[in-house]
Amino acid sequence: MTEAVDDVDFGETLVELNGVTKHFSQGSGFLESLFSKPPVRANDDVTLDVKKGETLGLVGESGCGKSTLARTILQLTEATDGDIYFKGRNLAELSGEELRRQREDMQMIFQDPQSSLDPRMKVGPIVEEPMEAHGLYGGEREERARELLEKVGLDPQHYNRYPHQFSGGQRQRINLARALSVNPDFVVCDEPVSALDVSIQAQVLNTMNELQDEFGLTYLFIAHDLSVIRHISDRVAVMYLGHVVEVADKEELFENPSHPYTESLLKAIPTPDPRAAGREVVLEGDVPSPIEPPSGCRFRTRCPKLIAPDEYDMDAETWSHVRHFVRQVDRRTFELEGETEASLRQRFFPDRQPDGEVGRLVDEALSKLANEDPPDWEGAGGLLVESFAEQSICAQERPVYEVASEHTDGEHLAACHLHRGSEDLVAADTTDVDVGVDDD
Amino acid sequence: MSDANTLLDVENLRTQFFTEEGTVRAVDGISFDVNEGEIVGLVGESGAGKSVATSSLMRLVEDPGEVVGGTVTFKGETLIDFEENTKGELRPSEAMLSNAEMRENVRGNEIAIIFQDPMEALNPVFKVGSQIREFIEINRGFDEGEAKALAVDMLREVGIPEPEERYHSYPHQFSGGMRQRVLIAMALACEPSLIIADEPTTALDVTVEAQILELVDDLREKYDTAFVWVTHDMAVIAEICDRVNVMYLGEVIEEAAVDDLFHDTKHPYTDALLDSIPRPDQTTAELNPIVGVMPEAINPPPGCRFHTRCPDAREVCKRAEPAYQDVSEPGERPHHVHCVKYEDVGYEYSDPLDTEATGAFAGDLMETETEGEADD
Repeated sequence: MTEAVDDVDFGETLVELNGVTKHFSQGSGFLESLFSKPPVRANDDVTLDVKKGETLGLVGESGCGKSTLARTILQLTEATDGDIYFKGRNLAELSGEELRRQREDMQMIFQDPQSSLDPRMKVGPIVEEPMEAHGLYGGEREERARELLEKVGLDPQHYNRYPHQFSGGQRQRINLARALSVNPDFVVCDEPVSALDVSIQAQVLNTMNELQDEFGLTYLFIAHDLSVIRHISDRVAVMYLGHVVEVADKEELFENPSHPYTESLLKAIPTPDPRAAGREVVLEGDVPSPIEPPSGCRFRTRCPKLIAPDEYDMDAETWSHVRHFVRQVDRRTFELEGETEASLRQRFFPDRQPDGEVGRLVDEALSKLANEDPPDWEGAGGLLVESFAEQSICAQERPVYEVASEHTDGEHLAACHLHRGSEDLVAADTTDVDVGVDDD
Repeated sequence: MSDANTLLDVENLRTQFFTEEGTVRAVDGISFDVNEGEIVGLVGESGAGKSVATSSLMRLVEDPGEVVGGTVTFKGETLIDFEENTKGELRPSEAMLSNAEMRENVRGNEIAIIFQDPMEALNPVFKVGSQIREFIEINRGFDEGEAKALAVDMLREVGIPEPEERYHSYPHQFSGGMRQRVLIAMALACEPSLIIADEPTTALDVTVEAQILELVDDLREKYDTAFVWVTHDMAVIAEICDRVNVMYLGEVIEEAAVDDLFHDTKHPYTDALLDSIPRPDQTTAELNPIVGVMPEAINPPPGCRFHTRCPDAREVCKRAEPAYQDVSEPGERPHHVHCVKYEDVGYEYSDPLDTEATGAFAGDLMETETEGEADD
């Protein structure tokens, strides 16, 4: 891809992910090779870049693959597929020693400030250790450690204290000082403030901002808290079940969310104000298993805007009833006791019965539920899912689209078929259209 | 403080831990009440004493901790009460329920509790259904069949699909949100008048948290259950509570109806706390954190305990122990606050304190030498 360079200008790409995939096998050893189970697909085909000097927020619910992605970027786990470039160098192609030296420029801060510090080491040596490992600042390490402690807002006199003598917020500051000791360009922060109280959280976030300005740092900031992401990020990437579903500048993402998952997530955040409109519960059900993720768009099984299959002729209202019916049957969320085919029909299609092929399929499913003993849930659910959910474009193609930014001039990517008709990036790639980079 | 439909009344409750380093005054004279069907918040940072306060109510404080004073009444029963004996020492009074009565009549039956970590509250080697069933058998005296039927009904009630089949699942086979639903089902099974919810949604994702809060609101309406909702999250408080108590270092420092607390904030700590939260609905340029950390409860600062971090602190705050009083105007809803600003102890004429919090402190650690580079 890009050429290897020693330094990158601010605003240029520092880290580039190209189709990064990470699967975990569920077993190991000889038996695994004979009876292999399907792998856990933690990250699938993640393409993303981080520009020098920015904070890229990475947000998603627990289990969506945020932390795996962070560890894969730093080569702490090996990617199953795809390439990761740092300053134009493909990290997978570096030898062990080269990679070790490259790590000087890439540091990490972990979520739990307690377990990421050795309880038997004093704070000074903790901060000095990375410098020692990289053979840097020989002879002036102690001086630098004291200086860094002061920069992250601790008392340099605390050089000789142990981690347990500090509060959670202060320990996270020690982590910051340690990460900065080798003067890195890129710091991956994995939920750095989620274990801290709000008042302390604000202190640490402010310090991180100040350090970024002073040292010209680039952050990949992972969090599940959208309020924190909104405060600290310049750009935001939203992950769902191993896929990146939307990437945009912060203001754009929060004011003009273009993926139904981002929208649902934003609607679900509580606001610290009793007068604010209450949050809406838009997402039903649980996140599917990453072992067998849904085809196409992974959010489609919970998406409130799942697109109607093209082969049936339905108006929007009928489709919304059918979609609801399909999901309720598939998840078995209602009881059949005392229900007849007619009462179920009245319940799910109160205004108007679907007609034609759609009507026939709905009838067949209703009959399996109401007229068979025991009710054939499996058959009804299978029929409906296969005939409707699996036929939607959302199930058949993985979407990648660029949408027009409304609030900023940065790029806005949304992986949702609702944006069919906007520029299709997959198509653009194959015809090799050269998209002009911003001129200033 | 109490009126006709007061369910729980806590007066001057004190709980201390006797450790080798000294006495930790974890809960130091808190008073609050809960009315029937009401959700009352107990909010504060970690170490404020929220969880100790709730386990004190249930008389579940473990050694070296001990409830050392105060009165707690619940539906006319005295859960905690102390009286002076002839030597002038405080001793549990006659009116107080015995341990057996507490266990048989109150816990589970009348007051249930939901914990933060559902995995720890459920036994991993027993099926979920049988755990709920056992709980019902013990507390309500049902036979096995009746208890099982009720357990299945409760699972259905809290929105668990296919309850008959999930009855036979183990806790690890549920997701975090589903496990929390199981705990809610268990708490509701004995139709208690009060449920103490100790950070029940803190470990959950926002989308799941929204589902759970909606469920709680529906169930409250249906069963008319009151809640004490313990959390550190002001956004959850804003969403679900009717009234809020803010705790700081073992004391309740402000109590008000939820709207008044957010929009007519009286205590500088509550104000600072609200100011330090990033907002999801607007971009904030800079956060205003509360400076410093909460002091240890083993040796709390004299006078007002918040004076070391308070932006409004004055000399008098170091000396005068603030009274906990109602500062609302006649005809308004009660609004209690614990701050000398609202007292007649000479706050107006007192000199501002020279601390980092008041801005008078010069040595800002972050201001370090940046060599003459114009970085604007």
